[in-house]
Amino acid sequence: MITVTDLTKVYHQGRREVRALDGVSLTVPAGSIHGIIGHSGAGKSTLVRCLTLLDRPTAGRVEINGVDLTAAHDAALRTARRRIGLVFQQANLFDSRTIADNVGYPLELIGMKKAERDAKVAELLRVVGLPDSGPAYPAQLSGGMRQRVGIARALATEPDVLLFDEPTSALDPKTTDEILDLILSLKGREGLAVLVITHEMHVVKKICDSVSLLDDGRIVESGPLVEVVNSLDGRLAEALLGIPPHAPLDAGSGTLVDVLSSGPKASTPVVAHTSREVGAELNIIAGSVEHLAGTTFSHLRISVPPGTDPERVVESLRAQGADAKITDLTPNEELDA
Amino acid sequence: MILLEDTWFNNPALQKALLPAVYETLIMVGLSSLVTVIIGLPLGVVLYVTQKGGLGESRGVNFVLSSIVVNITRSIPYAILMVALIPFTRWLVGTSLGPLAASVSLAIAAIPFFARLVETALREVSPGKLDAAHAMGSTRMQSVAKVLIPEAMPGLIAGVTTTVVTIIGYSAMAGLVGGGGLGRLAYNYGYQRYQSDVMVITVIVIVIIVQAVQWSGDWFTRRVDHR
Ligand SMILES: Nc1ncnc2c1ncn2[C@@H]1O[C@H](COP(=O)(O)OP(=O)(O)O)[C@@H](O)[C@H]1O
Ligand SMILES: [Mg+2]
Repeated sequence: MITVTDLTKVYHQGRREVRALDGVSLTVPAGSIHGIIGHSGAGKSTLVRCLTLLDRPTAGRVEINGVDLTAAHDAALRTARRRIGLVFQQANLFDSRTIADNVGYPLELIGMKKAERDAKVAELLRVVGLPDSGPAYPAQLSGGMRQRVGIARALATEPDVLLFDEPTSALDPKTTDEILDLILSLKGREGLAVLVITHEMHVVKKICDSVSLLDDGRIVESGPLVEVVNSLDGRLAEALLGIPPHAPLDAGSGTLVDVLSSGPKASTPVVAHTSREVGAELNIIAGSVEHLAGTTFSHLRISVPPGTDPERVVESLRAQGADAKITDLTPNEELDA
Repeated sequence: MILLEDTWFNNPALQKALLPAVYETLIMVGLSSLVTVIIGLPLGVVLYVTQKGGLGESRGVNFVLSSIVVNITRSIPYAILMVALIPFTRWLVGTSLGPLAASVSLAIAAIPFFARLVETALREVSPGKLDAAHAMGSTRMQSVAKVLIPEAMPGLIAGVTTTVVTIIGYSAMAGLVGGGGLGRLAYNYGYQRYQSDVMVITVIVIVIIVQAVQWSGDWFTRRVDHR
């Protein structure tokens, strides 16, 4: 379990202060995968550097199983760092070492004997699906394979926290899915909390149990995936289950209503039912249906024709257990700006 | 070629003096190269780690070593440096004559040159690899010895090669002021006694030595380069 409290990092650029992290707090229990999502410049890389103490936070605490890393120095800090396994975007393997020696590097540091190390490395390479790559050099491997080696190396010291910094941003979609499957398969490892930092919604949808939105150094939204998605206003909901772009409506063609339903209700014809109830033809303009964390979510945008009270439509939808709200888009407003 | 063979067999200067001269040159170059690597490598590492944002950032140390020691030594022309160092050489090795004495000024001229090449080679190692080393709990010494230097090895060996070739060039000059070797042979016979055949042979031997150094340096660089 990792607990971050009020983590703040201020960089000084000449006389200017850059508050790259501003009071970040979060908790990731063992056995779960937490995603941190944010745009470029949000502070993701800074968060990774502060969590691993590659950079010292200006203020705040990083605790692993109750032990404060920020209080540790020198030898204690190096020991503490081994509690966090870090996987980089570009693997950052050592080109001068074979794959086996890359994975064995952290074991070398703790003085593990060669025979024991070899056995451990072989086991780790099996876990990441590269049992035969031990004697190869990093340059001989594909990007996806190198990332697997990076994961094996991060697992070598049996860390309590596995921290991924944009692990799939340099990979193609197919390889991305393979790596995400591997990360998911690690979820069962005893006592392991996983933290994935990314700007890809796909990564969050596929593997995360919970998610936080990092914006301008602050966590502005956070919660279990099924909760943050279940909202018509949230930015995470918008990002993960947003209405895809659609053609602007002609003026006078009606009012737009957004409808969100989840679980079993997502597969019942709530819109058709409401259509009958208010006696008007409701047209579905756009929508997305996603299966996230074992639950189906349906987010639809419908148009209510002139002459029908949109409030009645919203009431009828809500009565059926869906969430709905009138969307005040002026006809020419740019969608998904 | 017939002409050269005739020369080789008939010229007493070449018969008697060529092999000892080659030997002296190899001693001079070998010794000064060894000292240069032994001192220049750590110096280059210190230049690298003390730079701004380095593993052991230290403005003071970096300024003294980089701006004063290295840059000043490098800006003194070798011809002047070797003469200026004669008293120091005499104090250090007891004489200012012979290949051992010449090695002193050669090494002093080559150390800052090589240290800069080391610094450049180390800078080519991506910072991400050092981050990885640290995140896994390496000490600074471990990061340098187990990651930084091995990762920079192809560049370091290329740097050694360039340095040795440069030392060979300087060694001819050092020969003139008492160092001996091929430089003096060419000067004494080729220049002072107008025996141009000696000059030609000397140049050919030096070219062969340089080629051999370059070729084996390239071979080693390829051996250690797994990128
Ligand atoms: N070493 C640094 N010195 C000064 N400013 C920095 C430094 N590192 C990051 N920043 C600033 O902190 C903010 C967050 O950067 P970063 O963590 O790299 O964001 P992200 O990884 O989400 O793109 C940016 O405004 C960036 O310019
Ligand atoms: Mg970044």
